[in-house]
Amino acid sequence: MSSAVMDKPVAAVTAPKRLRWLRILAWLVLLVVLLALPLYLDASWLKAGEYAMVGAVGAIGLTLLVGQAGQLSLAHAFFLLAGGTAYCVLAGPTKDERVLGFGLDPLLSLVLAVAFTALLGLAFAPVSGRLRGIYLGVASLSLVFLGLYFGQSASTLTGGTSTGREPAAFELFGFPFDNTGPRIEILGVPFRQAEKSWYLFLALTIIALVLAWGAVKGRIGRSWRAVRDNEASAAVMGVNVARAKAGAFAISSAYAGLAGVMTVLWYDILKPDESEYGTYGINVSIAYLAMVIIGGLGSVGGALVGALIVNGLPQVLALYSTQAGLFTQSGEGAFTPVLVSIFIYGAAIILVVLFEPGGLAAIGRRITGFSRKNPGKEGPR
Amino acid sequence: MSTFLQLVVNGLGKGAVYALLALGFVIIFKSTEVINFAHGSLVLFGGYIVVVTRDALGWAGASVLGIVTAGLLALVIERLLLSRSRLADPASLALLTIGVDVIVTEEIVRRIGVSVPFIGEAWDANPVRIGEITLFRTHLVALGVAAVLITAFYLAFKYSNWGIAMRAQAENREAAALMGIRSSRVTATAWLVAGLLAGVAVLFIATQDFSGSGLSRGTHSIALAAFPAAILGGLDSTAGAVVGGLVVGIAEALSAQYISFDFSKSAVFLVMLVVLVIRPSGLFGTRESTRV
Amino acid sequence: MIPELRVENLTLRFGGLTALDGVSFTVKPGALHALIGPNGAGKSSCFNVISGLYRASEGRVLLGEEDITGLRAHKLARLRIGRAFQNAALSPGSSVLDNVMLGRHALTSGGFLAAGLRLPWATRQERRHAQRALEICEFLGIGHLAHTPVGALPYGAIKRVDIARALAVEPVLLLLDEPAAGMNAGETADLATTIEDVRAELGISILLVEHDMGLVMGIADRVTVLDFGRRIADGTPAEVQADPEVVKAYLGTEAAT
Repeated sequence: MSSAVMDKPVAAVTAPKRLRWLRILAWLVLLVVLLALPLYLDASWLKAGEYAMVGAVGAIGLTLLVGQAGQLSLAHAFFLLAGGTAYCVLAGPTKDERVLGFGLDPLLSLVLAVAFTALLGLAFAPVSGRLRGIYLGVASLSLVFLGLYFGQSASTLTGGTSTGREPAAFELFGFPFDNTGPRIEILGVPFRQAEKSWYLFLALTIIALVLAWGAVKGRIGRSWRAVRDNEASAAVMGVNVARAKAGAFAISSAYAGLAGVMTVLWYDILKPDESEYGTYGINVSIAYLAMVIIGGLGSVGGALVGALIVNGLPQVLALYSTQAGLFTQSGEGAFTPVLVSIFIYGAAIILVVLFEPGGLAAIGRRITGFSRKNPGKEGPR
Repeated sequence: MSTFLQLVVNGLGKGAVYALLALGFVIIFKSTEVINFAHGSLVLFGGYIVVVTRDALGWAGASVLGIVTAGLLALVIERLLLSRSRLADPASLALLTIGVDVIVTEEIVRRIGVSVPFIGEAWDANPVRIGEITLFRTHLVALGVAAVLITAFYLAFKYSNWGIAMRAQAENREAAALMGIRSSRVTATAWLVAGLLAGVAVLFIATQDFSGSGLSRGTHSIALAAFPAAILGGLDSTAGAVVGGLVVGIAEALSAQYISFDFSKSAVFLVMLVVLVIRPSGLFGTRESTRV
Repeated sequence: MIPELRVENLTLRFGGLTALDGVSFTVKPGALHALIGPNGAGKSSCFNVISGLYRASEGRVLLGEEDITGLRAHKLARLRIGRAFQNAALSPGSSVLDNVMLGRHALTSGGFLAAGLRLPWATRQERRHAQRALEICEFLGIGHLAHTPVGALPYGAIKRVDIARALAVEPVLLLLDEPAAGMNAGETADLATTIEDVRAELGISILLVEHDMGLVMGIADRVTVLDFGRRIADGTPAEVQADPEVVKAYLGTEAAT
């Protein structure tokens, strides 16, 4: 699938040296700020930021699949559900009568859950290999419906649609990430669940980010882009197209699986509710696609910003609403923070497609003068 | 046996409505190669207008207004947004329609709120009994209306200037333009027709017989069935859209009865998946070939 | 060791259409062999069969001793067959270097984790191959454009990038599909020089599909002429030019008499 929205420089045009150091410095500053934030923000704000990070991890995976490899997928919500369920089952208590659990170490469960979701993505390969473009997109929609149906029926695994189940608290070598465990204080700030989760999510997001960046710059990113832009020429250059597509799906699903684990940890519950407008419904697949479009298809950094807007904005609006007294109407016809955010990102999609198909990434490149080599040209098609 | 027959006929009735939706969807695709993700919002919009004006204009008047406004919304989307896009490249435009769908749907759902208004039918809501089979009157009316509309559409498609122009454009856009076919007019009309069909479809969807509920977010969800219907028929085939719609209707009815109601929605997509794996371009779609 | 390419009795049928009918020819090691013919003669189809994109209905393609008929396209890069395309199928959003590096795909390894974790061997490999890719670009006169996005380049440069990418495969056989398409006389002359330089420097076999007779007759060692999927002549440029069948195919019966 190739389109103007997808044709833009992606990590392949090197910036002048001075600019590169500036970029590295900017990221370092950002990192320091993020590490220090729990000392200054209270739990509800940290929670909002964590939700943006969940979105970031998922969005990075999706931008690799849709933007770099050119495979349209609307199945992201399915893989989120799969990842979350796998974690709950693997790490869950073994003696619960209602739901199945294996009692494994949470870190191990997380890794296995991600691996499991990757395998699921791989299992979709026979379909993804045969279909192209929009046919693939709509076929992938099926997974969301099927997944939710399965999730709702398999209540021993997921806890069912009305009750759900609680995920096991995350632990790293015995160090618990909830409110249990020894009391910790850093610089006078008590470190409870919100603070600990912040660092956990931050670490996961950074890992996700760094891996993706490397992939985009490396051999595999090149093969994906080749498949996206011209399958025949990619094949002739030695790329096993079917394997490349399958691999892209697997990796994107792995990211979604990780985001799924983060989702259940964030909500502190796994509950497969509705398929049209729920935690794992098509609306979520569309939200992730929105993050990727707004950020710029194929841009890993853009995916972060997209996640900030689509996932972070409603959280922030909700927090401000309690403080600033906005969104005070409730009930019928109310403009809730979620609703307003949806309007905003819906409009953002339209604006991006109409005016800047490269998304925020292209705007960012323009501002930093990335296209310095070709003044006046805003970027290739 | 009689249950089966009943299911098939009722399924055909539902399928007729899906066929109308899928047909509109395919008309848009054939003329512009754009996948209209906003199709569901056209349905909701038309339904909303009917609900809001029903008391003032009566069912008949409200329905006509609903149909017309749904068509107009489609036209507005095409004229104001899609044709203005500098790129006019179908994949990007499809993504744009996602944005439109999200905004329109959420706004209408916000206005409807928790009330789930029925559109109200103009026909007697009592089921019809033929021998041992009970048929929903709504489904019969739908079958009839769809048959008329689809036939009218086919005649127009085959013989009218617009139909010929559209087929020419779908075949080869540049050549058609060189022949003097005003592409913008063809495209605008295509969207208008698709919107009108969506407006008709909602009259049947938001009834007790069809969906068991009135206008709600669920209506958008039901309209989503247009996708698998159009895809399994082959995105560039109008005949495929009709067949696809009927197949989807029957698949839904049968799976709801013999497996479970919850599964029926997934069943539709499963059928589509199976068809796609066997025939990646759908039942009647033309196979894509890339020039190397 | 440059192998010879032997096309034997190649037949390609699409439904009712016979695109290639019993075509045979041989590209000797190190030769510059041209495949010409009027439009629709089957030249590109022939290329596509050799490249593994189409499956022949009958016949064989042999590279040296190895039967490569029916091998899937991506295996052929490993056998060191490089191909440049008629429509220069590059990634416009990526730089020249990045595009050329795609040609190194079969010569390198490493997947997501290797790239993502920046494993030392993977990074070293990238650097080594990027160096080689740059050398190839410089050889073709586009080294200074290495970091420019391909979409911003003029047509002539794009075609060179395509050739560079094909050369990045380190081919023993180079397939050039209408390299002079869309070029003016001056550009074509430049291209002719470049192709001869490639042959002189690397000693590889080159199979060329071309319409431009000047280019073909000027640089080819041997020419095979196709018409309606059949081979109608095969010989040196001089022999082929004098062949009445060839003249008839191109210019019609009147011109031949």
